Amino acid sequence: MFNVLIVENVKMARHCMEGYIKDSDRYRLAASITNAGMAEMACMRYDIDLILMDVCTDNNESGIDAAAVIKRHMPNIKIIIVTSMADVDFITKAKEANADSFWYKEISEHELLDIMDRTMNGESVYPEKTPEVKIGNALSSEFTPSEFEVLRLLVKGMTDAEIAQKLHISIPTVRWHIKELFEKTGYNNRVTLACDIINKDLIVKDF
Amino acid sequence: MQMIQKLGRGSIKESFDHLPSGICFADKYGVIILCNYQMHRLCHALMGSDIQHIFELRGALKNPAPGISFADDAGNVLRFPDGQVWEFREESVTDANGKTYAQIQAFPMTQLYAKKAELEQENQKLEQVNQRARRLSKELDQTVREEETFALKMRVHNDIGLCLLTTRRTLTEQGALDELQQAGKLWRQKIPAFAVVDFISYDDLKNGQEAATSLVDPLRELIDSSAGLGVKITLNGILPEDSKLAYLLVTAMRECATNTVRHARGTEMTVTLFETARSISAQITNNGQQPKGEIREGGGLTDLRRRIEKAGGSMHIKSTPIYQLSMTLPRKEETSCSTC
Repeated sequence: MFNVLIVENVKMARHCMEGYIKDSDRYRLAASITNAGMAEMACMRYDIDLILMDVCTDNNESGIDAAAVIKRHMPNIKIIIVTSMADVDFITKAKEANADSFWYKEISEHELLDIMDRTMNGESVYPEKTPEVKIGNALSSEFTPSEFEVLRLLVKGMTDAEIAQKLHISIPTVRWHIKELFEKTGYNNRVTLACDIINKDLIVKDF
Repeated sequence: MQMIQKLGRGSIKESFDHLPSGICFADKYGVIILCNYQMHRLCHALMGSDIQHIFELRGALKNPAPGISFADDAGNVLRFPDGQVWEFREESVTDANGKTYAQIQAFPMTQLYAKKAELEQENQKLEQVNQRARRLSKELDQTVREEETFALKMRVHNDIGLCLLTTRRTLTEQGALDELQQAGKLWRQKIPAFAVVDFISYDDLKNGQEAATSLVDPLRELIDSSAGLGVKITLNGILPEDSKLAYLLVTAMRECATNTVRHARGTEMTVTLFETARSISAQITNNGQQPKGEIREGGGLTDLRRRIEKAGGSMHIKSTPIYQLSMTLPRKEETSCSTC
């Protein structure tokens, strides 16, 4: 029997995961919290074997940052990052934080319990790619890594000059990337583009 | 090609008559000019007679015979006494010569509606499971809390028992001074556990119904978790109303509470807040072991320093004579308006 800690601030998703665990004969729900910042203390308090860790939690605490801290002090605890957001950087960041596995809540082809079993058996289960999101006329997979870098700063409200300075590129290069994005999406202004990106969680600010 | 040559009017009529769907056509006067077997059968069930005029069928579809009921709100789907479900649709069709006819079709929907009923049953079961999950989830916090309180009380019971036994033995056997000192040291070690239990009991008494919703209050959650780890937090002062500043202070307390357990092995942590018009400061200490040297900032303290400095504040760590973390955060400046 493995003790599970759930870190999830969305009530419905939390109840759903709690239901999976309570119906299972291999896992026991040790605790369920809504703030990833409290996860380390929960692991010290309970004898946790596995954490189901959401990325964006209460008080803007990042589940991936919390995973990195827990893995540093308690490397034997297995962590599955769970999210419904299509942010392309989440998988990379989760791997950097040494999270064991990664699961997309609503769209994953695998069942959560299957991922939990495989993770507890020492397997690292990551999706091959992020879910595709339609931005205007374009699919998110059509954007280049450089365009994503520009988009990430664009949604923070940075000017072309600020983006250029941050990415160490010229202002015309920034404008060229934005023009390419307009052509791909069919949008003709950056506010519409940024709103669509944020609304569809393709880039999640501060996480 | 051979197949096409063999298809005659009779073959087409035969196929039409034996279609699994019901279908009939009426001319512009409403007189039925073509009707297949299935539609005949359905009309008999609906009206109890053959269909002569399309108006009869329209009327029967609005007021079906006893035993036939509507299966949808729009009144297009009917459930027949034999359990079969049919959807009726009327539209107008025009032939190659420009003549317009009214067409009424009946589609078999029995399987679809059986699946729908099955789905509704499954949804009902799912809702019951959800209700059960919600109820259990509500009770979880309280159950865990009671278990922890009980475990702590057991620990205190055992610790006090050990202290009493040691003291009794020392006194009855007229032990030497160093044995008395050892017994005293044991008492000093165990006494903080009283404070933890006292805190939890008081908290239970005070909050009662609030316990289930305590997750939303970061300070409450921190105090509860720390108590669960055997650390009592004493807060001298009131957290600022600014939720961001308050949360940053709670974050610092959390980092210190974790370190109190992990490194200092302490049981009490004291947080003192100082407020001025422009800033709020905090000093955090614990009763654990003193650091053996200068504190080397690792992931947690570095991250805390980054958060504090991002908010425009500063953080200092003192290792001697006792460990102390001090931090100062600026208050948000009042928005000034030159025209007001």
